[in-house]
Order: sequence, then structure tokens, then C-alpha cells
Amino acid sequence: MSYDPDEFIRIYLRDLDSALGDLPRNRRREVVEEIANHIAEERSEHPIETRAELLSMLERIGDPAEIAAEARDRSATVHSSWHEILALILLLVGGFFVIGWFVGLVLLWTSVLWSTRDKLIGTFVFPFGLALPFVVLTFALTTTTDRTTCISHAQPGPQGNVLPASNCDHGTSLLGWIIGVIGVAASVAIVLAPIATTIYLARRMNRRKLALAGA
Amino acid sequence: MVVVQGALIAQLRRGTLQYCVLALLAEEERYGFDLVKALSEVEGMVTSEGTIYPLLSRLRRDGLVETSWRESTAGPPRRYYRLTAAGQMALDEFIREWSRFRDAVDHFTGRTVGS
Repeated sequence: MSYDPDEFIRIYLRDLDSALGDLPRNRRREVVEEIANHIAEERSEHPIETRAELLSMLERIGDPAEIAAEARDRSATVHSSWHEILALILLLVGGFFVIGWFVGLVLLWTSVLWSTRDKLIGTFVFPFGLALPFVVLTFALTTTTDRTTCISHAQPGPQGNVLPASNCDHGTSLLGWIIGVIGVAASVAIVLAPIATTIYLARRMNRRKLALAGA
Repeated sequence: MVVVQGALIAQLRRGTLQYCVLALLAEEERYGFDLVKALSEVEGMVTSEGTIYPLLSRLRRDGLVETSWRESTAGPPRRYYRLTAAGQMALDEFIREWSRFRDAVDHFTGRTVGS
């Protein structure tokens, strides 16, 4: 059976990295990097010749799960959550002042209470929070108003002026109706999505705080 | 024969290990591997060498130690850990409290040793 210590160590470090998965990226990298250095130092001092030597070295270093538990344990010393609460508020409504959302984004990414996955969700669902649906809906309502105007204009006025039908008929066509339904569904979705994201992040934050307090 | 609860010893070790790290760094600055080997020389202090690294990371974030990269004569650059003024204060405080605590425990338990 062929055996490659480098491959073995690579797998060990990958397991360690995934065991540390819920920690902020920079801390995860720091621990993995230091343990990789430790292994390199160990190997330069006592070159590994057998599989048994390799296993004994990794056993001394410890199970990735055990190292991850130590990293998680007391990892945030008494942590006030104003940082996270401000991040959530700014991500939701800060977009109305554009810059506010970006400040919220910085707070989101510098927090230790969210994982990288949480941070990605917070960033992309949806950028600018409620400001985005606000702008989209305002635009949509303006368009609808135009159409109503168009229809009312289509009635023969006192002067008997009638606008060309082609400009006005899409309000009543099947296509127009489908677009309308999709529009309403999309509007509801883009309003609910940032709210759902905020609730999700708040829950993740609380769970993380509880886990830290219990450790 | 009295069996001391393993969980209690683990707690004691966990609570005091960081001060042993600070004490080692008070003597001289060290890189991770060197520090781990120094701790492992004394039996009963470290069960898994790898757990020292998250501990060092936390001490650094708490401002008790600081780090700097140095070239090494053999192999990749090393991250050296050094005690900060806050780390020295935390260590001094711990040593005072620990002596009092140890004396108090010894006062009651010490007289039965060897009997």
C-alpha cells in the first residue's frame, strides 16, 4: 500500500480547517497556519519515516475537533452586541442613505459572531436592504400610474382625441396580466427577503452568543 | 486509593495553562513550536499540543501577548510571541492569587499527605 505523509498531513489540515468552519476566516487561517508550521518544525527536527511515526505526531497535536473546541471556547471574551445590532439595522435601512449600508457591511464582516456563510447571506440577500425594494416599487408604481393615465387618455375626451391603441392595450392583455402577477410576487419577495435575512442573522447571533456564554 | 475526578483536573489545567504560557513568555519570546515543546516537557500540562495555538490566538486578541514574524535559519519564517505590559500585569495578578489559593488548599489538605 502506498503511503504519502504529505497527502496525509494535507488531509489532516483540511479536516482541521473544516472543524474550525464557524470561526471568522482570519482566526481560522491563523490556527491552521500555526499548526502547519508546527508540523513543518516537527518534521525538520524528527523526519518522519514510518506511518506509525506520522500517526503518533498527529495524535500528539490532537484531534481537529478538540482543537476547534478550544478555539471556540471563550473565544469572544464578554462580548457586547451593539456592534451586531447596529450592523443589522444599517443593513436593513442604511441603504436609504447608501453609505449607511456600506457601514453596515463593514460591521457585518468585522463581527466574530457570524460565520463566513452568514456574512455572504447578509451581503447578497439583498444589497441595500429595504432601500432596493423601495426604489424598485416606486419605479413600478410610477409605471402603473402612467398606464392608468394612458387608459384614461384613451377615452374619447371632450375634444374627441384618442391616443393610439397600441400604446394602451398592454394593460389588458394576458401578457400584461402575467407580468402584473409576477411583478406583485417579485415585490413581495424583495420586501420579505431582507427582513428574513435580518431575522436569520439575529438568530444566528443569539445562538452564537449563547454557545459562547455556555462554554 | 482516591480517584480525582478527571473533569476537575481538566478544568484546573485549562484555567491555569494560559498563565503557564504567559510565564514562559515572561522569560523570553518564543515561537509556537518552541513554546509547545517547553510546555510538553512537564508531564500533565498539555494533553493535545495543537490546542495551544487557539489559546495563543486568544491571548493575542486579548492583548496579553503580541507577535512578530522572524526569518528562521531553517525553514519558513516563525511567528514569535512576546508578553505585553498587560500580559505581565495579568501574570503578576495570577501569581499572587494562585499563591494564596494554593496555600489555603494546602493548609487543609497538606497535613494529610503521606498518612
